[in-house]
Amino acid sequence: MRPLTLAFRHLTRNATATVIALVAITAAVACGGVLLRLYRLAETRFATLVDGPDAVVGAKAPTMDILLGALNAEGEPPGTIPGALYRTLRDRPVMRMEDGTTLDLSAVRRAVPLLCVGRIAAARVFATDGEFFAQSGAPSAPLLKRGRWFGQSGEAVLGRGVARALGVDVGDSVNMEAARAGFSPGRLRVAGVFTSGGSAWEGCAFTSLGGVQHSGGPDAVHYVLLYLRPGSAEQVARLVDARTVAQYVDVHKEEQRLAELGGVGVRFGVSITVLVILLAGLAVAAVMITRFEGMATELAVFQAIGFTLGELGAWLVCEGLLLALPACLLGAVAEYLALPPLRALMGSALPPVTVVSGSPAWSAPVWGAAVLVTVCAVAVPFLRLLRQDTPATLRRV
Amino acid sequence: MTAPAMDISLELLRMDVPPGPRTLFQIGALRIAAGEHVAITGPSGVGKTTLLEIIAGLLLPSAGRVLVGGRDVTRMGNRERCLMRRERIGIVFQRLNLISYLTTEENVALPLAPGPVSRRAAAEAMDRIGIGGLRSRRVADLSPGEQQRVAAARVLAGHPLVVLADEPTSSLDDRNAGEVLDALSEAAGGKTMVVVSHDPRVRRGFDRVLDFGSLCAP
Repeated sequence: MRPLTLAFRHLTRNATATVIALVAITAAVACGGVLLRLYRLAETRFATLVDGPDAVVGAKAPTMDILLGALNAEGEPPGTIPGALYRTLRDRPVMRMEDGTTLDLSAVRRAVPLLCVGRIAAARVFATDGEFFAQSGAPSAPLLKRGRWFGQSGEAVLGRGVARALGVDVGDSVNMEAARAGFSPGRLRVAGVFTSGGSAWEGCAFTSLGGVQHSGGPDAVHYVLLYLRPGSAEQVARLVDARTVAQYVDVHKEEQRLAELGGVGVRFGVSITVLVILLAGLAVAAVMITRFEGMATELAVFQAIGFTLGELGAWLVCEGLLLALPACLLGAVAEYLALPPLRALMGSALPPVTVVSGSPAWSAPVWGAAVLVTVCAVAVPFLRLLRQDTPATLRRV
Repeated sequence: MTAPAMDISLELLRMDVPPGPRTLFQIGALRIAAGEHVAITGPSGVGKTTLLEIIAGLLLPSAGRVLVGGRDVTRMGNRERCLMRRERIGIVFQRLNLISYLTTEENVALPLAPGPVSRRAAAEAMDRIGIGGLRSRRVADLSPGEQQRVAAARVLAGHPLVVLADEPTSSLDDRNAGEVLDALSEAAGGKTMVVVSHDPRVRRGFDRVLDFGSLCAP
């Protein structure tokens, strides 16, 4: 009898034991898969962070608040900083201070102002100027898909996500709620729709900073995004931190801190992934080894009637695969059903489905581990067979 | 052309068993000629089954040589002994060792290479031993006597050169015991057969009936 046929008959004719093993492996695979996918989703929690600016200048506030407020459009913006500071950074002068110190701001390649002026539904509306459109080369640089950039007061360009969520397009008008006193609510005409490499900006709208100021808004901004020449941030940081009311936030350092704080640092991530795969693997191994151990007498019978160790090994591998492969499939289905409610429970700890859907293939390492462990688990009864006293085992039947 | 039978020779065989170890038995020399049918009788616990297991290569003796068809079983590797059991030796175990979840036919065909030839051989063996009507029944559902016949049919289906049977009549009444012994003898016709049993009914039709105690005598 062929090993595959034998494995199939053993499984189908011992239905209760097979179902128990199948359920156990399915549960291990599903739990491992869900854990891995939740972890991978958590890892992408800040995947929408705008990628490109080297530094953000904002009012004195926790650096993380500034980073997330400016580059992930979340949280309430801190206080404003003077518009003059933005213009200084933009114009990149060599500044001679009263104490004789010279600060060279030529390291600033580009400065982009952002003033949070209100909301269109849930989308934040930033006022900015032409520098915003001029960003290029950066992964999150805005790219106009339809229409044109806003040219005058009362116009806005919408991120693709906002346009899609509101069902509006170029030429439509949208209502903006003012963020606070000093800003006027009103209707904005959609001048264009842009993409931004999947960044948080695609969930925001942008209008003219000049227009806001002309209509009585403050000569101030919430953030200035700085694009710097490599290795030349020190003088800019010194100017901002020591001689202004604002503070300088190094985006790269803060991103690294965010990753570590959020538990998605590289080392931590590798540890979690390995641990989850190991747990799933051990659970599957426990099931398989228990099952194979229960077959000791049967294996002795087969050996006694002339089956070689190789044939017995092939039988066990076939049986393991016949269990593990459907269990992986069932585990994937269970995971598919369990993930959405679990994801909803986690709330804002995970990115929204509209931003990161999370591929089922993320669980593939768990499936691979389950199959690998199933095959490796054959080694246990195999080693036992090598040491086994076949006649003694047969006499215990 | 059928393969020739094989002779069996035991030379200075000794089997020690724990605790101690103590010597279970010692056999100076025993030769069973090719095609000979031999019954070895004796009370339970003297080592008859162990002797059969040594001849089948399931156990290695503490000392001595076991030649089956001129080849020393004690010098074979595990794989070689497995293949020898499958291709040349048919064993009817005392506890039958049938696979409970397989049908009668599947149990009989188990040691055979898969394919129509083996299915035919299994069917012939079952018909010969009178269990042709049970082929799709699971062995777990059969009576002890029927199971004994399935075990015998499993041996016959493989057309072995040597048939070893350990208490083949232990759970059978007189009529069934006679039928199984006849079937084994018939199937092993021209082949070497060694049956060990403490059953006094196992004497008829054998070329030699040996007392295990006399084999072990110095």
